[in-house]
Amino acid sequence: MVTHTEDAGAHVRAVFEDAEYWRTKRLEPVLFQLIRKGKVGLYDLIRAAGEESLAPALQDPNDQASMEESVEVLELNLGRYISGIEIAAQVARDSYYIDEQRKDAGIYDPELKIAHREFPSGSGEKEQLAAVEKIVEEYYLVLQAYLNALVLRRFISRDKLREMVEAPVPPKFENGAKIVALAWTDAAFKEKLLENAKDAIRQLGIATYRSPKVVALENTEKVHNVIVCTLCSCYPYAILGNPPWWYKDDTYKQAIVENPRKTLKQMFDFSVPDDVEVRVFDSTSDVRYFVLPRKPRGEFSNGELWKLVTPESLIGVGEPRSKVVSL
Amino acid sequence: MNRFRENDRVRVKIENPGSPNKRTPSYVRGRVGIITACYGEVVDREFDHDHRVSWGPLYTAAFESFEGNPRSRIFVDIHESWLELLEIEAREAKNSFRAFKGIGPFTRKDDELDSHEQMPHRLDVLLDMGSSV
Repeated sequence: MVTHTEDAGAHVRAVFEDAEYWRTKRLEPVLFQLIRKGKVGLYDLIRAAGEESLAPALQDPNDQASMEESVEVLELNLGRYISGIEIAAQVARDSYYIDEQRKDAGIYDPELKIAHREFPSGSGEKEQLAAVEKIVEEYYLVLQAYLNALVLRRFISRDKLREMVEAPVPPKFENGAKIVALAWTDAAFKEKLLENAKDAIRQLGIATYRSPKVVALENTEKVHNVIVCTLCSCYPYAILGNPPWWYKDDTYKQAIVENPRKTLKQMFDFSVPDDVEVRVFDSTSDVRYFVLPRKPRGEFSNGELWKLVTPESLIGVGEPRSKVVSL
Repeated sequence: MNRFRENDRVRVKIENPGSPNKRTPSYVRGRVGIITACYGEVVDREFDHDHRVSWGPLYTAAFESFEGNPRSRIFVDIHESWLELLEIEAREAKNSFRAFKGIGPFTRKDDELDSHEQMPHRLDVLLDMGSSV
């Protein structure tokens, strides 16, 4: 059975939507604001574009690669685009204001709205993939010039920016797996986690910045929790890293709200028994949710428990693995 | 100060002009839900996207699901200015119902987080209440 998670065409569309989101909401509004305020000039961008880029080069698509491999490269390149935007925002953050950024993105005023591109449609999956590769490449050019311009205008030194760009992105899915595994074995930690997840996680030495409120949703015999963000893609990024691509895909968002049980079955081949309540949590504001799945039956050593946890089980669209696999 | 408490029945406004916050999904606008968590005002200056300024107290409200199965519900985080209290007397009725069932009042403070799992099934509470009052 091909579940939704293996649908390469939908994955390409999700990457496109994500790139659009980051361009229209997180990059261009800030950049336009900096230009309006005279903090960065268009000429800076043009000059900066001619210099050697500080942002890492994108990985070249390989013509011989399979669709799945190509989508993986595309996803990787999208990741570089996103982390570059985040770094730029961090560097320039004292020079723009978020309230105005929302205005600048045209969220309140259609006249100021930044137009979205249409998804390249009407062709086959391969052509769509190639078109989205090109779009990400174009968007990345602007990001590269923007980062260089921030150095030109002395927002930050070249070396410091290089350091930021080259630093590995720390939050990873393994954080979540380890939090869950600890909750399975340590009752006191679990209690703390359910009471105030942010504090409990912080005490493990995991950074929780940019997660205003964090809530762990415990699955039990009677309750199964699922998370979604229908308005964008809210997720405890800071703690768990990036969600799987389909989490950001409109197909998932819409279907899980309209018909949770059927969606879990059709998209993820996951059945929830009739006597178990399904609770879908839509993180529409400042609460970041993740699911605390039930511990699989069987004997496992404490050291290998975390390997049972899957990204799907943290979102509630699957169970943890029933046996340890090498990762 | 939070206007609503857990277990309050609220209706989500269809429109909320004047509020800078548009983050109330269309599928709950005009619908009736039950407050299941009160977070108070959320302001986080580290957060570089939303909520460097307060949008007013935040709540989680539970709604019946669209699949028509009483054993599935959808929980949505909504700010106070989007909500109207549906039944003022429901508060008192629920308190007496709680005493009757021995559930006891909730002692949780608004700014403390709790597991949703530990809370009773809100819709069930109301349905039961209807039959026992």
